[in-house]
Amino acid sequence: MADTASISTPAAFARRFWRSSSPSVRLSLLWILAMVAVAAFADLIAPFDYTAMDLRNRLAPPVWMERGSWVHPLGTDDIGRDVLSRVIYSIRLSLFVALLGTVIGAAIGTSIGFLAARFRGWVDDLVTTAIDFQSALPFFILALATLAFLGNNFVIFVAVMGVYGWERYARIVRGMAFAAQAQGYAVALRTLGASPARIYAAHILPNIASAIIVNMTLNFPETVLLETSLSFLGLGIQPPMTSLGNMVGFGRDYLLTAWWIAVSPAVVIFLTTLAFSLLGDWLRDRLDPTVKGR
Amino acid sequence: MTLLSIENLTVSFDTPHGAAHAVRGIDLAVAPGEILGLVGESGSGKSALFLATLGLAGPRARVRGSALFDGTDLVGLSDRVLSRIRGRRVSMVFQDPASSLNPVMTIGRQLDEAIRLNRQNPGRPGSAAARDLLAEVGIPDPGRRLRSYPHELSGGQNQRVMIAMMLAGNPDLLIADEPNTALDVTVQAQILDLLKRISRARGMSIVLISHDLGVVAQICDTVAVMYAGRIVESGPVMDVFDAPRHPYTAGLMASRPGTAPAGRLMPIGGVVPSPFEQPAGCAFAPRCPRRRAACTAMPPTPVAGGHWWRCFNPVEAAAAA
Repeated sequence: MADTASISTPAAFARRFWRSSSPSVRLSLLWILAMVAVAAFADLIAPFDYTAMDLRNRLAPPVWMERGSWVHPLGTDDIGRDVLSRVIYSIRLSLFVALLGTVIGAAIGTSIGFLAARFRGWVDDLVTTAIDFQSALPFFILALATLAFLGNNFVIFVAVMGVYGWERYARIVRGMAFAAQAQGYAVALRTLGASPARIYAAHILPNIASAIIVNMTLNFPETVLLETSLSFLGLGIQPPMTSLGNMVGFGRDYLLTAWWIAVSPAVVIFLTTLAFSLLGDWLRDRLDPTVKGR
Repeated sequence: MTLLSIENLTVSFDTPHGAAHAVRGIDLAVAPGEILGLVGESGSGKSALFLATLGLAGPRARVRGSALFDGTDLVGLSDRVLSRIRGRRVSMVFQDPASSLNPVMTIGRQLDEAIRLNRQNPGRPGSAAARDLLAEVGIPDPGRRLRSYPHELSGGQNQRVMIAMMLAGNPDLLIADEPNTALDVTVQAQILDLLKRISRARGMSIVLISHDLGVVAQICDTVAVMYAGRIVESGPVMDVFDAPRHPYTAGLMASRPGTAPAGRLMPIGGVVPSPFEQPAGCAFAPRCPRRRAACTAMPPTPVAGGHWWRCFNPVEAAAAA
């Protein structure tokens, strides 16, 4: 506990990260930072617009293959659009949708978990039943049905992403809020005249934030996969917008003749979800005091 | 002239096995500036009594009777009204200081919050008010301590911080629920001295809940002894301890280390009655060496006076001394 005062300085934080992480975790973090940079600066990095067609260069192969050129380093698709540019813009959209979905899911799940812990009784019964119901129901089916019935637009799609995984947040938060209520500080704050809402938002939430953050890092890659799966099936992001999943979906027809159209975004999906999972596991081990020997 | 006057207060909890009676009819009065000791063994209803009075006993608690605080009956008040009384008029300090502070917030932020919640003109956060409170409870170098987290302080210091937070709203009554139990013996004495000093300096009443007779004798003006949800004996602390009249009080006095001859402890035989039972007579009768036929038939009525007890066959004053 002697070095707690130095936690806050960035240099000390970086040192602690370096000491406690494995090479795979460091590479994961590096990859995630690179993806975030790509998403943020897509307009500057991408050599072409993602809808720009080069009809004389249709189905051009990547640069390292015969007939490949540096004009289109990752080749082009069936109507001559630059695969590298499309991957870059797809990273931006897919990460954005997944981030939005994760944040919405965390907000919904946390609020519901708090409601259950605050009001107990029938509210709690209702929430626990809904949690069990949701975890018993394959979410993919629910998402397919929702998108098929309500039609597909960007707002509905993001809403579906947001609902995904709420029950895990709700379950964790409900349990931890129950435990926190029994903590002395919650009772002590009540005797000081603090309202329950204030105790939840200002005191219990910071105490359980680490668990919520860990769950977010584990939920994020799953949201990426859900988005790409739905887009692959044609129920997600619609053209002319492009996401990693719908690139893989449209590239499927050319897997034998122009594999690079589907493989480039697929590799990005694979590496990104892997990196987030590794980082999430590491975070969970770091923040969970019951896991020893870190 | 009383500050808090509790009359015939009962608290029971709904459980799957029926009602658990924690408090079975309590009459208690606290005068302004008085330090009252509430003594009893675990499960005798000491804590439930005051948690219920402040509306904090939880949704399963059923509270009946009245608790007049400065003319207002606290029983049955809405949570909104009660939350304005909590902290500003009545505060409560708990057993375990380590868990009573939020572990992820600095002492300063928590004190600021206590001040903001309970004062009309809280001033700016980080103002001198928080530092003054820390100085009042005897924390050295309060300016630096404001930036500390609870785990960086000792148990005794955390308890002082807790007391400081509870003083933020200038309450008229502080309920100290076993403030000593989790602390070292030397630190215990310091906390007791602190409570007594604050009570005298501010004219603030204190109800000290404890199972330690020595603690009560050290700082209290009056004492009330609880057994199985009732007060069995009450009076000025010296009168009660010098000449206990109820056999339970007498048994407690005799069971303290160092009182019996040959260094042997004198236990009270038997166990506390279950909270689910509703004994017809005196709850202590099954364990009482002075039991009579009447004791199991009807509850004894209190014998009035400054020093009163609830017994058909009290210990003679001379014999107990």
